[in-house]
Amino acid sequence: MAVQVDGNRADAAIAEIERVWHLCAGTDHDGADARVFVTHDDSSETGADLDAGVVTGSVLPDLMQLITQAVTRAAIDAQKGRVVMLHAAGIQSPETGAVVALVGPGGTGKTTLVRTLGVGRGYVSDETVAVTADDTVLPYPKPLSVRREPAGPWKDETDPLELGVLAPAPQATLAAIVLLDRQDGYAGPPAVEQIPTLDAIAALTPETSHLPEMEKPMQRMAALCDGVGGVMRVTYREAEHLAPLLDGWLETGA
Amino acid sequence: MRARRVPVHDEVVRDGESVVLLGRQVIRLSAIGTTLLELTGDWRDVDELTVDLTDRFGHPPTGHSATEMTEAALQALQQQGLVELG
Repeated sequence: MAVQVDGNRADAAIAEIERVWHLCAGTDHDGADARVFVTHDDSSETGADLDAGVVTGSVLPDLMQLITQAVTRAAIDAQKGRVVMLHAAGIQSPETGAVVALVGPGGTGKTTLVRTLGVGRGYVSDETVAVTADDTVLPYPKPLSVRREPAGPWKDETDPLELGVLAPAPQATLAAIVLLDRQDGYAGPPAVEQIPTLDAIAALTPETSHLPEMEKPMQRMAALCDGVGGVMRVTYREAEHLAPLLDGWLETGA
Repeated sequence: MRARRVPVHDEVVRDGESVVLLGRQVIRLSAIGTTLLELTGDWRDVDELTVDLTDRFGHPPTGHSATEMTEAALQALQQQGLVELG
Protein backbone atom coordinates (compact mmCIF):
# COMPACT_ATOMS: atom_id res chain seq x y z
CA MET A 1 0.00 0.00 0.00
CA ALA A 2 1.39 3.38 -0.99
CA VAL A 3 -0.04 6.84 -0.34
CA GLN A 4 1.01 9.49 -2.84
CA VAL A 5 0.55 13.09 -1.73
CA ASP A 6 0.65 16.28 -3.76
CA GLY A 7 -0.64 19.86 -3.50
CA ASN A 8 0.92 23.00 -2.10
CA ARG A 9 0.40 21.76 1.47
CA ALA A 10 1.60 18.22 0.80
CA ASP A 11 4.41 18.49 3.36
CA ALA A 12 1.94 19.05 6.18
CA ALA A 13 -0.17 16.09 5.09
CA ILE A 14 2.88 13.83 4.78
CA ALA A 15 4.07 14.80 8.25
CA GLU A 16 0.67 14.06 9.74
CA ILE A 17 0.36 10.75 7.89
CA GLU A 18 3.80 9.69 9.13
CA ARG A 19 2.83 10.70 12.67
CA VAL A 20 -0.45 8.83 13.00
CA TRP A 21 0.17 5.94 10.58
CA HIS A 22 3.66 5.01 11.78
CA LEU A 23 2.56 1.57 13.01
CA CYS A 24 1.64 0.68 9.42
CA ALA A 25 4.72 2.18 7.81
CA GLY A 26 6.59 0.09 5.27
CA THR A 27 9.53 0.70 3.00
CA ASP A 28 8.69 -1.09 -0.24
CA HIS A 29 6.99 1.72 -2.13
CA ASP A 30 7.66 0.26 -5.54
CA GLY A 31 6.12 -3.09 -4.62
CA ALA A 32 2.86 -1.59 -3.38
CA ASP A 33 -0.23 -3.54 -4.40
CA ALA A 34 -2.55 -0.58 -3.92
CA ARG A 35 -2.28 3.20 -4.02
CA VAL A 36 -4.19 6.14 -2.64
CA PHE A 37 -3.74 9.56 -4.18
CA VAL A 38 -4.05 12.53 -1.86
CA THR A 39 -4.15 16.24 -2.70
CA HIS A 40 -3.77 18.70 0.15
CA ASP A 41 -3.79 22.34 -0.91
CA ASP A 42 -5.48 25.64 -0.19
CA SER A 43 -8.28 25.32 -2.67
CA SER A 44 -9.43 21.70 -2.79
CA GLU A 45 -12.84 20.87 -1.46
CA THR A 46 -12.98 18.02 1.03
CA GLY A 47 -13.97 14.86 -0.73
CA ALA A 48 -13.07 11.30 -1.57
CA ASP A 49 -13.66 8.87 -4.40
CA LEU A 50 -13.09 5.61 -2.60
CA ASP A 51 -13.50 3.53 -5.76
CA ALA A 52 -10.65 5.44 -7.38
CA GLY A 53 -8.61 5.84 -4.19
CA VAL A 54 -8.55 9.63 -4.52
CA VAL A 55 -8.80 12.03 -1.60
CA THR A 56 -8.70 15.82 -1.64
CA GLY A 57 -9.08 18.56 0.93
CA SER A 58 -7.75 21.75 2.44
CA VAL A 59 -8.67 21.03 6.08
CA LEU A 60 -6.09 18.58 7.36
CA PRO A 61 -8.08 16.80 10.12
CA ASP A 62 -10.97 16.17 7.73
CA LEU A 63 -8.55 15.05 5.03
CA MET A 64 -6.95 12.60 7.44
CA GLN A 65 -10.27 10.96 8.18
CA LEU A 66 -10.92 10.49 4.48
CA ILE A 67 -7.41 9.12 3.98
CA THR A 68 -8.14 6.47 6.59
CA GLN A 69 -11.30 5.47 4.77
CA ALA A 70 -9.53 5.37 1.40
CA VAL A 71 -6.50 3.44 2.65
CA THR A 72 -8.69 0.93 4.47
CA ARG A 73 -10.83 0.38 1.41
CA ALA A 74 -7.80 0.01 -0.88
CA ALA A 75 -6.02 -2.34 1.52
CA ILE A 76 -9.09 -4.54 1.84
CA ASP A 77 -9.58 -4.63 -1.91
CA ALA A 78 -5.90 -5.51 -2.42
CA GLN A 79 -6.24 -8.57 -0.16
CA LYS A 80 -9.34 -9.80 -1.98
CA GLY A 81 -9.37 -13.58 -2.30
CA ARG A 82 -6.18 -14.01 -0.28
CA VAL A 83 -7.21 -13.83 3.35
CA VAL A 84 -10.31 -13.88 5.49
CA MET A 85 -11.09 -10.32 6.56
CA LEU A 86 -13.32 -9.99 9.59
CA HIS A 87 -14.95 -6.71 10.60
CA ALA A 88 -13.31 -6.85 13.97
CA ALA A 89 -11.17 -5.23 16.57
CA GLY A 90 -8.00 -7.21 17.13
CA ILE A 91 -6.25 -7.17 20.51
CA GLN A 92 -3.08 -9.11 21.10
CA SER A 93 -1.25 -10.57 24.05
CA PRO A 94 2.19 -8.92 24.01
CA GLU A 95 3.65 -12.03 25.64
CA THR A 96 2.35 -14.76 23.35
CA GLY A 97 1.23 -12.91 20.21
CA ALA A 98 -2.22 -14.47 20.55
CA VAL A 99 -4.98 -12.33 19.04
CA VAL A 100 -8.65 -12.16 19.86
CA ALA A 101 -10.91 -10.91 17.07
CA LEU A 102 -13.91 -9.04 18.44
CA VAL A 103 -16.33 -9.11 15.53
CA GLY A 104 -19.09 -6.60 14.99
CA PRO A 105 -20.53 -4.29 12.36
CA GLY A 106 -19.73 -0.60 12.17
CA GLY A 107 -21.19 1.26 15.12
CA THR A 108 -20.71 -1.61 17.54
CA GLY A 109 -17.92 0.24 19.30
CA LYS A 110 -14.81 -1.56 18.11
CA THR A 111 -12.62 1.51 18.53
CA THR A 112 -13.98 1.96 22.03
CA LEU A 113 -13.10 -1.65 22.80
CA VAL A 114 -9.53 -1.11 21.65
CA ARG A 115 -9.22 2.09 23.70
CA THR A 116 -10.73 0.42 26.74
CA LEU A 117 -9.33 -3.11 26.63
CA GLY A 118 -6.25 -2.61 24.50
CA VAL A 119 -4.24 -0.44 26.87
CA GLY A 120 -0.99 -2.28 27.55
CA ARG A 121 -1.78 -4.86 24.89
CA GLY A 122 -0.93 -5.18 21.23
CA TYR A 123 -3.17 -3.20 18.90
CA VAL A 124 -3.92 -5.24 15.79
CA SER A 125 -6.84 -3.29 14.35
CA ASP A 126 -10.04 -1.48 15.20
CA GLU A 127 -11.44 -2.17 11.74
CA THR A 128 -10.43 -5.42 10.03
CA VAL A 129 -8.68 -8.53 11.30
CA ALA A 130 -7.13 -10.34 8.33
CA VAL A 131 -6.32 -14.03 8.77
CA THR A 132 -4.18 -16.15 6.44
CA ALA A 133 -4.74 -19.82 5.66
CA ASP A 134 -2.50 -20.87 8.58
CA ASP A 135 -4.40 -18.63 11.04
CA THR A 136 -1.69 -16.00 11.08
CA VAL A 137 -3.12 -12.52 11.65
CA LEU A 138 -1.93 -9.66 9.46
CA PRO A 139 -2.00 -6.57 11.69
CA TYR A 140 -3.63 -3.40 10.43
CA PRO A 141 -2.85 -0.92 13.21
CA LYS A 142 -4.39 2.09 11.54
CA PRO A 143 -4.84 5.35 13.41
CA LEU A 144 -7.62 5.19 15.95
CA SER A 145 -10.51 7.33 14.78
CA VAL A 146 -11.73 9.26 17.78
CA ARG A 147 -15.04 11.07 17.38
CA ARG A 148 -14.65 14.82 17.86
CA GLU A 149 -18.18 15.27 19.20
CA PRO A 150 -20.40 12.50 20.62
CA ALA A 151 -22.93 12.53 17.76
CA GLY A 152 -20.89 14.29 15.10
CA PRO A 153 -19.75 12.78 11.82
CA TRP A 154 -16.10 13.79 12.03
CA LYS A 155 -13.35 11.91 13.77
CA ASP A 156 -9.77 12.76 14.61
CA GLU A 157 -7.17 10.29 13.41
CA THR A 158 -4.99 9.57 16.40
CA ASP A 159 -1.64 7.86 16.86
CA PRO A 160 -2.68 4.63 18.63
CA LEU A 161 0.31 4.76 20.96
CA GLU A 162 -0.99 8.05 22.39
CA LEU A 163 -3.95 6.07 23.71
CA GLY A 164 -1.84 3.54 25.57
CA VAL A 165 -1.96 0.54 23.28
CA LEU A 166 1.22 -1.23 22.14
CA ALA A 167 2.53 -1.89 18.66
CA PRO A 168 1.51 -5.37 17.54
CA ALA A 169 4.05 -8.12 18.09
CA PRO A 170 5.35 -9.61 14.83
CA GLN A 171 4.07 -13.14 15.39
CA ALA A 172 0.30 -12.78 15.52
CA THR A 173 -1.86 -15.90 15.71
CA LEU A 174 -5.60 -16.01 15.97
CA ALA A 175 -6.61 -17.45 19.32
CA ALA A 176 -10.29 -16.57 19.64
CA ILE A 177 -13.22 -15.18 17.68
CA VAL A 178 -15.90 -13.40 19.65
CA LEU A 179 -19.10 -12.03 18.14
CA LEU A 180 -20.10 -8.78 19.78
CA ASP A 181 -23.69 -8.27 20.85
CA ARG A 182 -23.73 -4.88 22.53
CA GLN A 183 -27.12 -3.91 23.88
CA ASP A 184 -27.80 -0.51 25.42
CA GLY A 185 -30.51 -1.93 27.68
CA TYR A 186 -28.54 -4.96 28.84
CA ALA A 187 -27.92 -5.24 32.56
CA GLY A 188 -25.67 -7.59 34.46
CA PRO A 189 -22.35 -9.18 33.70
CA PRO A 190 -21.52 -10.11 30.11
CA ALA A 191 -23.18 -13.32 28.94
CA VAL A 192 -20.96 -15.62 26.87
CA GLU A 193 -22.32 -18.47 24.77
CA GLN A 194 -20.63 -20.90 22.45
CA ILE A 195 -22.09 -20.87 18.95
CA PRO A 196 -22.32 -24.06 16.87
CA THR A 197 -20.01 -23.85 13.88
CA LEU A 198 -22.70 -23.61 11.20
CA ASP A 199 -24.48 -20.83 13.08
CA ALA A 200 -21.13 -19.11 13.61
CA ILE A 201 -20.37 -19.19 9.89
CA ALA A 202 -23.82 -17.74 9.13
CA ALA A 203 -23.31 -14.99 11.70
CA LEU A 204 -19.72 -14.18 10.76
CA THR A 205 -20.04 -14.15 6.98
CA PRO A 206 -21.96 -10.86 6.79
CA GLU A 207 -19.13 -9.36 8.89
CA THR A 208 -16.44 -10.15 6.33
CA SER A 209 -15.03 -8.39 3.30
CA HIS A 210 -14.70 -10.11 -0.08
CA LEU A 211 -15.28 -13.59 1.35
CA PRO A 212 -17.03 -14.94 -1.78
CA GLU A 213 -13.88 -14.17 -3.77
CA MET A 214 -11.97 -16.78 -1.77
CA GLU A 215 -11.64 -20.38 -2.83
CA LYS A 216 -14.08 -22.57 -0.86
CA PRO A 217 -15.12 -19.70 1.41
CA MET A 218 -17.55 -21.64 3.64
CA GLN A 219 -15.01 -24.38 4.21
CA ARG A 220 -12.39 -21.78 5.01
CA MET A 221 -14.73 -20.20 7.54
CA ALA A 222 -15.43 -23.60 9.09
CA ALA A 223 -11.70 -24.24 9.42
CA LEU A 224 -11.24 -20.79 10.94
CA CYS A 225 -13.97 -21.43 13.53
CA ASP A 226 -12.67 -24.91 14.32
CA GLY A 227 -9.10 -23.64 14.52
CA VAL A 228 -9.92 -21.39 17.46
CA GLY A 229 -11.97 -24.07 19.20
CA GLY A 230 -15.31 -22.53 18.26
CA VAL A 231 -16.82 -19.07 18.19
CA MET A 232 -18.40 -17.28 21.13
CA ARG A 233 -21.03 -14.59 21.29
CA VAL A 234 -20.86 -12.10 24.13
CA THR A 235 -23.81 -9.94 25.14
CA TYR A 236 -22.82 -6.85 27.11
CA ARG A 237 -23.43 -3.16 27.54
CA GLU A 238 -20.17 -1.41 28.32
CA ALA A 239 -16.76 -2.17 26.86
CA GLU A 240 -15.08 -2.23 30.26
CA HIS A 241 -17.36 -5.05 31.34
CA LEU A 242 -15.44 -7.33 28.97
CA ALA A 243 -12.11 -6.70 30.67
CA PRO A 244 -12.32 -9.74 33.00
CA LEU A 245 -12.97 -11.99 29.99
CA LEU A 246 -10.21 -10.76 27.73
CA ASP A 247 -7.29 -12.48 29.41
CA GLY A 248 -9.06 -15.81 29.21
CA TRP A 249 -9.76 -15.38 25.52
CA LEU A 250 -6.13 -14.47 24.86
CA GLU A 251 -4.74 -17.33 26.94
CA THR A 252 -6.86 -20.24 25.89
CA GLY A 253 -8.91 -19.15 22.93
CA ALA A 254 -12.43 -20.47 23.03
CA MET B 1 -43.96 -30.53 -9.03
CA ARG B 2 -40.31 -31.26 -9.82
CA ALA B 3 -37.24 -29.71 -8.30
CA ARG B 4 -33.56 -29.36 -9.08
CA ARG B 5 -30.93 -27.59 -7.03
CA VAL B 6 -28.94 -24.75 -8.47
CA PRO B 7 -25.16 -24.64 -8.13
CA VAL B 8 -23.94 -22.89 -5.00
CA HIS B 9 -20.62 -21.22 -4.43
CA ASP B 10 -19.66 -23.41 -1.49
CA GLU B 11 -21.22 -25.33 1.37
CA VAL B 12 -20.37 -26.96 4.67
CA VAL B 13 -22.40 -29.87 6.02
CA ARG B 14 -22.24 -30.87 9.67
CA ASP B 15 -24.43 -33.50 11.33
CA GLY B 16 -26.87 -33.40 8.43
CA GLU B 17 -27.35 -29.62 8.52
CA SER B 18 -25.53 -27.11 6.39
CA VAL B 19 -24.58 -23.57 5.55
CA VAL B 20 -24.33 -22.58 1.89
CA LEU B 21 -23.03 -19.57 0.05
CA LEU B 22 -25.12 -18.52 -2.93
CA GLY B 23 -23.60 -15.52 -4.64
CA ARG B 24 -22.86 -13.22 -1.72
CA GLN B 25 -25.63 -14.59 0.49
CA VAL B 26 -25.03 -17.10 3.25
CA ILE B 27 -27.95 -19.40 4.03
CA ARG B 28 -28.29 -21.71 7.02
CA LEU B 29 -30.24 -24.88 6.23
CA SER B 30 -32.02 -27.38 8.44
CA ALA B 31 -31.57 -31.12 8.03
CA ILE B 32 -34.59 -31.30 5.72
CA GLY B 33 -33.37 -28.42 3.56
CA THR B 34 -29.91 -29.94 3.42
CA THR B 35 -31.32 -33.33 2.46
CA LEU B 36 -33.50 -31.85 -0.27
CA LEU B 37 -30.47 -30.15 -1.81
CA GLU B 38 -28.56 -33.40 -1.60
CA LEU B 39 -31.39 -35.25 -3.38
CA THR B 40 -32.01 -32.76 -6.18
CA GLY B 41 -28.73 -32.85 -8.04
CA ASP B 42 -30.91 -33.67 -11.03
CA TRP B 43 -34.63 -33.11 -11.56
CA ARG B 44 -36.68 -35.10 -9.04
CA ASP B 45 -40.41 -35.43 -8.68
CA VAL B 46 -41.93 -34.27 -5.41
CA ASP B 47 -43.49 -37.67 -4.80
CA GLU B 48 -40.08 -39.34 -5.02
CA LEU B 49 -38.59 -36.75 -2.74
CA THR B 50 -41.40 -37.24 -0.24
CA VAL B 51 -40.64 -40.96 -0.09
CA ASP B 52 -36.95 -40.24 0.45
CA LEU B 53 -37.69 -37.71 3.19
CA THR B 54 -40.08 -39.99 5.06
CA ASP B 55 -37.54 -42.80 4.81
CA ARG B 56 -34.99 -40.57 6.54
CA PHE B 57 -37.08 -38.50 8.91
CA GLY B 58 -40.23 -40.57 9.39
CA HIS B 59 -43.81 -39.68 8.63
CA PRO B 60 -45.30 -36.36 9.73
CA PRO B 61 -47.81 -36.22 12.58
CA THR B 62 -51.36 -37.32 11.88
CA GLY B 63 -53.29 -34.68 10.00
CA HIS B 64 -50.25 -33.44 8.07
CA SER B 65 -49.53 -34.37 4.47
CA ALA B 66 -45.97 -35.45 3.82
CA THR B 67 -46.27 -34.34 0.21
CA GLU B 68 -47.54 -30.90 1.17
CA MET B 69 -44.72 -30.52 3.68
CA THR B 70 -42.19 -31.49 1.03
CA GLU B 71 -43.71 -28.99 -1.38
CA ALA B 72 -43.57 -26.26 1.27
CA ALA B 73 -39.93 -27.04 1.97
CA LEU B 74 -39.11 -26.93 -1.74
CA GLN B 75 -40.92 -23.62 -2.14
CA ALA B 76 -38.93 -22.20 0.77
CA LEU B 77 -35.74 -23.34 -0.92
CA GLN B 78 -36.93 -21.79 -4.18
CA GLN B 79 -37.56 -18.46 -2.44
CA GLN B 80 -33.99 -18.57 -1.19
CA GLY B 81 -32.81 -19.21 -4.73
CA LEU B 82 -31.47 -22.68 -3.99
CA VAL B 83 -33.76 -24.82 -6.16
CA GLU B 84 -35.71 -24.36 -9.34
CA LEU B 85 -39.18 -25.85 -9.60
CA GLY B 86 -40.76 -27.25 -12.72
